[in-house]
Amino acid sequence: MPETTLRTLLLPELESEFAKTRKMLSVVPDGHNGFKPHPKSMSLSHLAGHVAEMPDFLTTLITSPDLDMGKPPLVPFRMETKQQALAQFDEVADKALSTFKNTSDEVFRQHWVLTWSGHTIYSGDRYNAYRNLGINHSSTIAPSSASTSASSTSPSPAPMAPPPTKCKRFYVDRSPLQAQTH
Amino acid sequence: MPAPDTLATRLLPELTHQLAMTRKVLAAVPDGHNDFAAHPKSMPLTRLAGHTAELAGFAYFLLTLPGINMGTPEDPRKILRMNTRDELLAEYDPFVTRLSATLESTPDTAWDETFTLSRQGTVIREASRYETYRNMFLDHMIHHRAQLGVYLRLLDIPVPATFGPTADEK
Repeated sequence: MPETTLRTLLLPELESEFAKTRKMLSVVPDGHNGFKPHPKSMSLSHLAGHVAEMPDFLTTLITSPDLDMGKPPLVPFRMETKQQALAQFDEVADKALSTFKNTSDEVFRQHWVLTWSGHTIYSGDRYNAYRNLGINHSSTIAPSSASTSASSTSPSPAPMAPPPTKCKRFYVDRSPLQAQTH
Repeated sequence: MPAPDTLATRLLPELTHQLAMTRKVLAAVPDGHNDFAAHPKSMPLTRLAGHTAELAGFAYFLLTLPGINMGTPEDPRKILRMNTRDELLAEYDPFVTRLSATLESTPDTAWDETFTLSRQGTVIREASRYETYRNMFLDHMIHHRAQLGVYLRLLDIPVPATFGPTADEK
């Protein structure tokens, strides 16, 4: 048995979730980019694009001390064709995996901050950010592609930053996360 | 609180947060649409909501038993169908209390043990308890919770935020 590190515990899940996500992306049909199940939902192009770009968020999470989502130029990825989305996913998933395989427990314990135009959305250890903002977020979106949903929203930049009061309201229930600092 | 630097310490904040997010979505499910399905092949709302809620019950057995043989008289799981939202939440809340307390006292050694999931004697999955917790419980619950979000959207019910603001809050 190799030494038990967070990396060795988390890697099988990451590989399995990436494989499931790729499987789902590879059945997204071309020619329906504007489809949405409801007027308030993301378009298929937006949803599949968001799923395909998510692994890159993991790389940022591991390699940077913080992320300001309101800061340009964070251009959200949009699906044009399935092949283009898969190529994007493969590239960022490979990068995330190779970065992840070199990540020590110490790195997971470090502090990590997510802000949106100056408002703190998450401030806590990197492990919890990895779980709740990274993996659990990806799991939320992938299954919905069967019918396309806007129920989960993207951490990609919004056209306008939300006003502070709203921002606070959105994330007020994140307190269990924020309490987990080391 | 569990001892510092145990897996339980690591996993508890995530579990608490995700169970609270699931409750928020279950609490938004309307009464009176139990037969609604997003597609002829989709689960009806009564079963989807029930399944999303029952996984927190399943996770307790995952932490305390060496395996589960589904579809047999020994299968301890409670399979739920929603009748009313309040009745469903009344089933869900004790699952949360029991699971959180059990996880808190789960020693690191238990996570490395093998958990076997079978159906009428045929092994479906044999993996460490840790991997099974992640794939068969937590990632699985989040998967169905997101489907439930689609159902709420299609029923024109505001979708609660679980990973940032929804289209209702923009």
